[in-house]
Amino acid sequence: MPYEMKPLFEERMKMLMPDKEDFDAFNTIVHTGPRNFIRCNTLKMSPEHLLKRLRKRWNVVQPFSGYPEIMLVEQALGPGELGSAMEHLLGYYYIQEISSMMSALALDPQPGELVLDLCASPGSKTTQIAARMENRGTLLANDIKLDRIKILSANMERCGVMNSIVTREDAVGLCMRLAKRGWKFDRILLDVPCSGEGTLRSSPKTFLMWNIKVVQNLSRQQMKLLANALKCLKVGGTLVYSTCTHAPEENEAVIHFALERFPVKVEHVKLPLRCRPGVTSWKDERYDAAVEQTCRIYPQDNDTEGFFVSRLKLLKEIE
Amino acid sequence: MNAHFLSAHERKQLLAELQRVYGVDDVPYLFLETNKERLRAFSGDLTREEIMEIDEIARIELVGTYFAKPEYGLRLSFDMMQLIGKKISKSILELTEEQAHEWMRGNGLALESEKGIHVIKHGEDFLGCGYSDGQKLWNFVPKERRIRTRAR
Repeated sequence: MPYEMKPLFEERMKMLMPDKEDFDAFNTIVHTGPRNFIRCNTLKMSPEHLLKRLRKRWNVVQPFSGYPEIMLVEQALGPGELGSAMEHLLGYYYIQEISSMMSALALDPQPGELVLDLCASPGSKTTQIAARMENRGTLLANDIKLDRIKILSANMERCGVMNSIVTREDAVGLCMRLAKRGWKFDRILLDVPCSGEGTLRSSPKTFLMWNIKVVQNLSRQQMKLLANALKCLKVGGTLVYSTCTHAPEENEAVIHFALERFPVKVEHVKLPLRCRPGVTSWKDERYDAAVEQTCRIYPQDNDTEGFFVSRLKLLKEIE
Repeated sequence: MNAHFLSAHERKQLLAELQRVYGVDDVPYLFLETNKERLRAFSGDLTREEIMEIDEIARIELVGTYFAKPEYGLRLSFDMMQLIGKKISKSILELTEEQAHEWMRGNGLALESEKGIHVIKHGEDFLGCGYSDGQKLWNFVPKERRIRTRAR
């Protein structure tokens, strides 16, 4: 029996999608499994070469021009088939849902830069960042729990990430200490823990686990994380804040909080998925108009999971 | 941090061994040795002093990637083999498809070859290192990287 939305969750999603057809499309697609996206690990193999190999076995396409590393296996697969393939064991590709690839694309890290990934495990975005950095520059990848660090490091080893330092710290405390010692990063990825409303397709238990109190508590934590992360950013540097949830409290409200307190601007992000603008009001709250520049990814728009991506630029030193 | 940076002398010895066993002479990385006697390589551009400063601020779990273990001369890690495989000019042992599948299941191979470390290769794929006692090739493919089900 399929999981159903809790009444309050359904009501909130209907507020975000007032058009009935739109909500019905959302409600239909979240009850279907996700598609089989993979990302070529360019640290070990070129996309052209990997495509040639995989096409001997599966129907693989590159759905986005300009992003040859993103591939879609367009056929039904057996359980664990993608993970047990030789090319996966050798680290030639990473199994990653397309919407989760958007954070690193928005971050656009460059070889030679100093980059901070604050909530790094399990490592899908970390390995994507390292690949875009061509293993040059330095990537500081942090997570809080040892079991999560183990998963992170296993994925980083498999993908051949060499320019990284992995730390195990509470992200807020780490940022405070880094800022105190004058460490400033060119780019920071803040892909925060969230209520996971966007992951219903791959993790249907979220239907049952969803709880408004969790959303509210996470929102406070996320603001604290963002406030401290910004203190480690170079002037002119880029911070990407992303979540896999639709809740405005965890998305636009957090960006609004940053706009109110810090010298930052929201930059428009061009991504290969259809994005809807961030919402400027939610219930009784009104947000800064600039949050419209953020990107809401809905499952029914792209046949993906749901996601939220925003890119901030630090305009001047934070006092 | 449960590791120390190699001294200039240790680094020189490592590079000499890398050249002797694998014919590789261009690895511009920073090297560390962990408490588990594993060598790790860091390709980033922070200096050792800067890494030590981060170590004062945070618990560093890992730096760079697992590079090699100082046994049988020098045994390169499974993943490092794929990263620097194209630079390797010595000790390469080509397997047939059938042997490669057996190898990736984690099994040793009854294969006569020169005693010592070998770079295991099948087609374009580098499949880690093996140690030969002359009669048998001993397998070092990490457990989590072995083929568990039907071979593909």
